[in-house]
Amino acid sequence: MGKKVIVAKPGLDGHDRQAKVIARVLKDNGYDVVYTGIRQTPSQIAQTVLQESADVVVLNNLSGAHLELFPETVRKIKELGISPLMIGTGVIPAEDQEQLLNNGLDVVFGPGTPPQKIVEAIKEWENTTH
Amino acid sequence: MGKYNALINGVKKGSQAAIAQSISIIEKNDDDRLELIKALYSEESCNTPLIGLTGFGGAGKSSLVGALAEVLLKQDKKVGIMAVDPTSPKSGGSLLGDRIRLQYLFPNNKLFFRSFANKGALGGLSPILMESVKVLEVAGFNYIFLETVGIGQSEVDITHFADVVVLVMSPGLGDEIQFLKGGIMEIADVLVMNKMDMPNANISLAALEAYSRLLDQPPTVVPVSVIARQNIDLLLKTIDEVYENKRSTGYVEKLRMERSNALYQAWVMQMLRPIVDQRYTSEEIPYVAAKSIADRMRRCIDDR
Ligand SMILES: Nc1nc2c(ncn2[C@@H]2O[C@H](COP(=O)(O)OP(=O)(O)OP(=O)(O)O)[C@@H](O)[C@H]2O)c(=O)[nH]1
Ligand SMILES: [Mg+2]
Repeated sequence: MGKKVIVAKPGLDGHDRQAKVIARVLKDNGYDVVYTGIRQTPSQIAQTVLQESADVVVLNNLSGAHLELFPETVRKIKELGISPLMIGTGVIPAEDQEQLLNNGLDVVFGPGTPPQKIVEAIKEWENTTH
Repeated sequence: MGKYNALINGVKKGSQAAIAQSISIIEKNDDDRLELIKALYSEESCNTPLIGLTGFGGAGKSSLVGALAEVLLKQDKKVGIMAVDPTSPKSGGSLLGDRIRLQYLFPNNKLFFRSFANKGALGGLSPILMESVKVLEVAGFNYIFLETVGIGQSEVDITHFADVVVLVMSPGLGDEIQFLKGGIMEIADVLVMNKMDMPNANISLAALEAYSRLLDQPPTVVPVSVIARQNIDLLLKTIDEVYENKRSTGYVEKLRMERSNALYQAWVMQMLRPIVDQRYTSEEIPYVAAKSIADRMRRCIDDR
């Protein structure tokens, strides 16, 4: 059975072209993808991940609020006793990437990363742990 | 009891983690599934109304189920929703796009929503989906809604086995109504004309009403607009009435028996598939090979 991936947009930015492209590429690579839509709170995302029993969560934020929102979302998810693979995407400068990796994210991608890289990261995780 | 004691207790308490985990176990094809299903069926569960929503793509099924849930949640009811989307035959992946219409209702611990990919289940009725309904019943939900892939995708859709079948349409499809496949028109209890806020929606509504009158048992036609939150209460009342009527006449009971039978068949087909698949080689005449394996199975079973 294909793994289930949630593509989620925490925060207030209303641009979801990138998130939709990510969702489509994941689907084309055999994943079952649930896209949450824009303007989600960390609690909303956490409940979604729980209800859907997602294996992987791809967070996308373009407003620059990733340093607060991503770790907060990870925290809310872990609080529910689940630990999916957490991937952060968006306009994330190199110095922030390190910080996010130290704050609960498993993989972080900066601006301009081709979606195929996300697929590769998930495949690698599947091969090592599942 | 054993292994799943704690999990089942969690489900009975309505823990969303326990519900989600149970559905995941049912989705995975291994021995855990048997244990869990046995444990689930040994629980007493009340009969929760199972409402099936189907209709053309984009008619507004997900938005509508969201609006119905909104009303029910305000009445402090527990609402379970399961939505099925098609799997891409090319990649085997899927975009499960129903949930996005209801995200605004979360966080909410009285609402449980789960998306399913329709992996082309034989006979259309996905056994996984039906067993997940069982989980929600054990969890004591007050309403369970099922949104399924548009009409015509499979002849025997799961919605055919729902207690109340709601067919959702939107303006501009008037002429297509009569071409609907699979007899959905005959089994629908309620016909919804959604998007009544659109221009000329009245014309489509009139066409639908005229058509429904031609049916042996004319279903109730309810015009609604999800966007304008118009007639949502009326639709809910209609659904409740249909259910109550079917319950008091013993029809719900009968439907449940049919559902069990269909579920048994669906599981058998699913389990036999890999076994019979392995035993076919392309040199054989398909019919002859199929008859031979069916005869062998029958002999095996009858001898015991
Ligand atoms: N004008 C108008 N648009 C509506 C109404 N209800 C839903 N829509 C819109 O119709 C579109 C499809 O709505 P969905 O709820 O996703 O429809 P669906 O039947 O679940 O679609 P699929 O699951 O893809 O088959 C969305 O853009 C909705 O905003 C309504 O009452 N009026
Ligand atoms: Mg839908």
